[in-house]
Amino acid sequence: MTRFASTLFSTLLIFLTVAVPVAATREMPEGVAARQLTVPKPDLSAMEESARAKIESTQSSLEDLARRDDVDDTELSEAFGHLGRLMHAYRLFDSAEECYLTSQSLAPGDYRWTYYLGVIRNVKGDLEAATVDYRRALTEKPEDPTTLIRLGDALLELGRGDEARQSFQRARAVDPDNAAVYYGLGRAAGFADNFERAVPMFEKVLELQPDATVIHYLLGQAYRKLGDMEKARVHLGQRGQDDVKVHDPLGDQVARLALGTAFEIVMSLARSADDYPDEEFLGFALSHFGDVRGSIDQLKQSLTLQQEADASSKEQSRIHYVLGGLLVNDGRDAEAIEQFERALELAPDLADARVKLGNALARQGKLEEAIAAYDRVTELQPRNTTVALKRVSALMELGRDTEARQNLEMLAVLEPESSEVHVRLATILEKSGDAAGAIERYGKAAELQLSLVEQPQVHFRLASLLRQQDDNEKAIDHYRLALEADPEFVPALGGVASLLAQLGHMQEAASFFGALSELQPNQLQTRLAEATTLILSGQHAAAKTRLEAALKRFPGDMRVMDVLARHLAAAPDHAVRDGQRAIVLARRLFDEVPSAESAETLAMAYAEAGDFTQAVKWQKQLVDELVTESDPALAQRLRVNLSLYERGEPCCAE
Amino acid sequence: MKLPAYVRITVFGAITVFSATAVCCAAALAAAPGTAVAEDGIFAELKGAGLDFVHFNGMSGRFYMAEINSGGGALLDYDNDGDLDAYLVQGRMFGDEAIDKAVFPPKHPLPLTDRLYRNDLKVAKDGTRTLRFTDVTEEAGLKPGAYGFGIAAGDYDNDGWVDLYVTRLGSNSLLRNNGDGTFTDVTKAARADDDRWSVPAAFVDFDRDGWLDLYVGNYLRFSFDKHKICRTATGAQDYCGPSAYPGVPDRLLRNRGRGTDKAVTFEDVSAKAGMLREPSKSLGVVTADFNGDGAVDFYVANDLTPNQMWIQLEGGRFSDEALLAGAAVNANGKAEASMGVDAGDFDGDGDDDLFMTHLVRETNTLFLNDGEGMFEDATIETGLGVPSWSHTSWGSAWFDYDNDGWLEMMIANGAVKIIEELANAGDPYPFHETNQLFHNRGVSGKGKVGFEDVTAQAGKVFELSEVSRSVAVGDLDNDGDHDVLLVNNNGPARLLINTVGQDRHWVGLRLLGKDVPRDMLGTRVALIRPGKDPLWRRARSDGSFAAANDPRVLIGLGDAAKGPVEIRAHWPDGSVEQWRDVAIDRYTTLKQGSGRSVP
Repeated sequence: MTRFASTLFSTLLIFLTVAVPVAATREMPEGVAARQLTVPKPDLSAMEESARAKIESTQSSLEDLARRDDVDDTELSEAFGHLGRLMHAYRLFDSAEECYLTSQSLAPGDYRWTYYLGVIRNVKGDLEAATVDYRRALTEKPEDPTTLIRLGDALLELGRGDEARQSFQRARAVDPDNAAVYYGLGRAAGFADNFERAVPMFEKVLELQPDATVIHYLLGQAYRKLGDMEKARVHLGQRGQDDVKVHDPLGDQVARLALGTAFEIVMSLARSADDYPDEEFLGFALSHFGDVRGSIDQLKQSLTLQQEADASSKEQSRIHYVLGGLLVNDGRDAEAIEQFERALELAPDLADARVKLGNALARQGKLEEAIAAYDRVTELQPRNTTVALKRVSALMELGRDTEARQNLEMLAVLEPESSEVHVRLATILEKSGDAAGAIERYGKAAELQLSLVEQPQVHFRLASLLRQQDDNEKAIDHYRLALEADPEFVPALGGVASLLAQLGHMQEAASFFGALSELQPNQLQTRLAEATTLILSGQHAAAKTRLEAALKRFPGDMRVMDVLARHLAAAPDHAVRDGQRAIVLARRLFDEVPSAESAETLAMAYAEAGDFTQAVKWQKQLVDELVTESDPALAQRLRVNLSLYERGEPCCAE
Repeated sequence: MKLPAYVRITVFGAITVFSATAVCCAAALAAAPGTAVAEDGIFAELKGAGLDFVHFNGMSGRFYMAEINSGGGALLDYDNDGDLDAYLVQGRMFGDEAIDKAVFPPKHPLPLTDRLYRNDLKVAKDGTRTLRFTDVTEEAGLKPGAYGFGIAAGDYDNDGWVDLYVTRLGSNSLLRNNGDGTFTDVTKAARADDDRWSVPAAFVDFDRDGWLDLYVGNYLRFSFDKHKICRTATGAQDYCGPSAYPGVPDRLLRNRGRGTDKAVTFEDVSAKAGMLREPSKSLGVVTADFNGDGAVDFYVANDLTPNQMWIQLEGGRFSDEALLAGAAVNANGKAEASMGVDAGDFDGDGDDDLFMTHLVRETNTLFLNDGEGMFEDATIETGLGVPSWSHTSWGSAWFDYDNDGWLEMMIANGAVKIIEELANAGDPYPFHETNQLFHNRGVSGKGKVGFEDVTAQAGKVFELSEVSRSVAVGDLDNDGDHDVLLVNNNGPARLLINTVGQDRHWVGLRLLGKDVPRDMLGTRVALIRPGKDPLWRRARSDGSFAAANDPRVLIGLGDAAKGPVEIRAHWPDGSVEQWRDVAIDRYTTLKQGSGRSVP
């Protein structure tokens, strides 16, 4: 159990902490009943330390303030509002709501607290209450476009389309260039089934905010409902997830606070963790700061502050390290290298920083330096297989295959259960021409627990090597295993299909070529291979269907035309024959490519159509021109077919 | 001695089965010793009747995402005795965690297995019903498997005994019903496994070859060694959302029928079907003919990625048409965290509409079908949006609880992230919420169908705040109305007995195949109503979240029905038959081929 989980569950289970509101009695002006101001005290036990400390300190200051007599309501409302925003930023919505309510009661004319209350109630799903709050905020600040937009949104959710439209219209009168206004107006129009009205509104959103890609979905659906499927498809194809932005100064204050609190949490986690769980807090940083660049800026500011405060080298090294990680995430390897190097200057034994440094150097092509970084990690962590493999990759990129191989052989002894080590060793052996060695290593890897990515690859490589060794049965087994792991693995589909065809298993081969054709509909060779294997396995009707489909996709392709024309003219299954269509295809083929083969196809077609005069004429011409002693088989075929046509029989009846 | 399947058909297949009397109500549901049925609302919880299942979620404080999502169950008649039994899917510890690390210890003996409860319903001559469940897990031969999630029920081998497919975090289980009260795990032999994290599954004969095929929905690419730590805004550890892990494609398994070795096997046709190119995060699946072309389609509810509507094309291929159809994302263009899903003709216009459940701060979504497979988000105007805003919803089912001819909706709720208010109150499991029931008001003044939240009248069981997941509907006491099996995560399963449906007339149908004595899932049934449009229902066991429902069709007739009714069935193979004079207020078996053929 992690420390955090442990904290949470021990707390939850033994009911140690129960929210206990702390009341501070405050003397009120004469004539006003004394009020109890309650500072919300949510359960903080599971929180990260910096977050808890921040909330506790703010609560404590507020309690002190509330007890004082010399503080007026305005100041107190600000203080409660501050705690409310802090709770809001930490997404402690119930507590935030309590604070805003207190602020509102202390400063009833201040629209901010009413607005925030509306936002909180909106988030909590109490939309009716939210609309009441928004309307009240509007009495205090009547033409605030943000509040009008929020009100319109809530009314739309409540199904009160007309009221929503009116609210958006009021907002448009104040702020005619606000994309969110037109987004609302478009949706209100759509809600009333008025899609003619909705379309220009959504178009306006895109004009004002071109990156609001989510609008394409709404436009697509509006056009669909107007019956314009073409435009609908175009817009749906452009659909994205980027929202329409709402200009919200009060909301931004909370967002900024959230950014700051998240940053503090990240840094606190970084400080408290012994093993630098970078993925954890980098992920947290990214999700809470909103974007990488924002995170980087925050960290740089923090670094400056730490340096000014003469913080310990350990503290600073961690910030450099996190900063480096974020820069890597942003694709800025050169800057990241600099940060990792600084982190290592301050904390030379920070192995993770050294690994990341090595990775960044390798990506920059500085392979020798990367290897040096990895070597240093290996000194610190001799059994770090991941780093050892990274080192091997760098060696291979440098062409130092022998050294890489030696490293891998050593690793295979140390880590016999690592499939990755065996796979890498197999790869290098295969590259060096040692097929038997590669088969052995791939085989060992296959016996181990392979990842979903490795499974098809390993079995495919095994199959290919076994095929080279003429061990075809085993090769087929491994092709099948590769396809079991990934039925759409194209190389394995191609491999097994061609091998089965090579071995004469045409029916099975046809099925695999079929699957391949589905995956690669634009690969003509695959389609022809499928048709050929279908014909060879006696599936003539299926072959015809597939050839017709291929011709539809490749309308002018002579190869498809030739195979199809011959199939229609001479297929052993007479049910699929179609002489007239064969003539059309063969004629076109001959006109385009006037060769002996196309002439023979034409003769076959005429014969199938019952026009034996033409068939004999074309076939006789071929016999006269092509029959030579050098190709007795061809001569035999041409003569046999000629005599068939002369007897009034179609081609190749057997 | 085991009775051969064909003999059973001779006995039960004639016309009338499940001879429920016309008068039957909750008052007539006698409590067996130790049981209690409180008549306090639309539903009353049946307690002490022997169904003592308590879900174990394996929670150890490491916040494995799977532990908060689980809880599945099925209603099925595994022993062909005419009443619905219950199968509950169980969790276990994750990875190599020891059982003593469990935050909430298991209530059942180790090793933990799924549990099967036999319904020993007794109907006295005066119509009094006594429901009693017996735990038959051991005698059924159920063995421990990987961590369980969902379940599908269907007779995949056409032997007249309903089989089960249990989805798991790890290898799934195809459990063949041996017809003698036991099950055999035939997953490997039938080539029906999927060792990824599967949640929804559905049996349906999509290729109309007379054998039930299987759709298996997969959720996330999760492994214990790549378990991620996620946190709240305060830095406290919490469960991750679906964005933390990549999605994986679903699997369509075609039933190859009985081979020369007598075994029934499946083949993976996902690639051929064109389904492998779209990794998704599936939590729900439902099968229906959404575009009215006569072929079965699939609708898949995905967690935070666009939902998919696999429309069947020719040659066993499918195309995801959800985006154009307006059923992939909500009206605002946003993909939502879809969990449970169900299809049903809630507005009585003859096509199946879709309802799916979502996360807190999203609304649940109702997609209205125009009959040609094009949808419109009708969540707000039907009144289902606002009440769902503050809930995280899972199991959901269309069913006509009051037999007025309009489909209602029950929704099971329970959070996946810590609820601040509960945590503040020191709650040891701060994820619980109350469930909801919505009544269909029928056509309103504006011609649109709307719902009202009747949770407050639904009964005391709806006042319970739990972490509910699965809802399976079926007529447990054969009294002509739908009851509910509610499955809670880290809590007890509950039986909700309907106390109002029997006040109105109804017709109950079991639809059996011509040559195969199994429930013909996917059959569309029309109740022909003089002067009105037909009322359409679907024989199904799919829908909801991680659940399998009663495969029988139960149609509420309202107050007006006086005598036998006319029924038309559109069978999965495309044939259509009609029966006149089908008795009301009882269950009738309609066997394919026994009706008048309709061109």
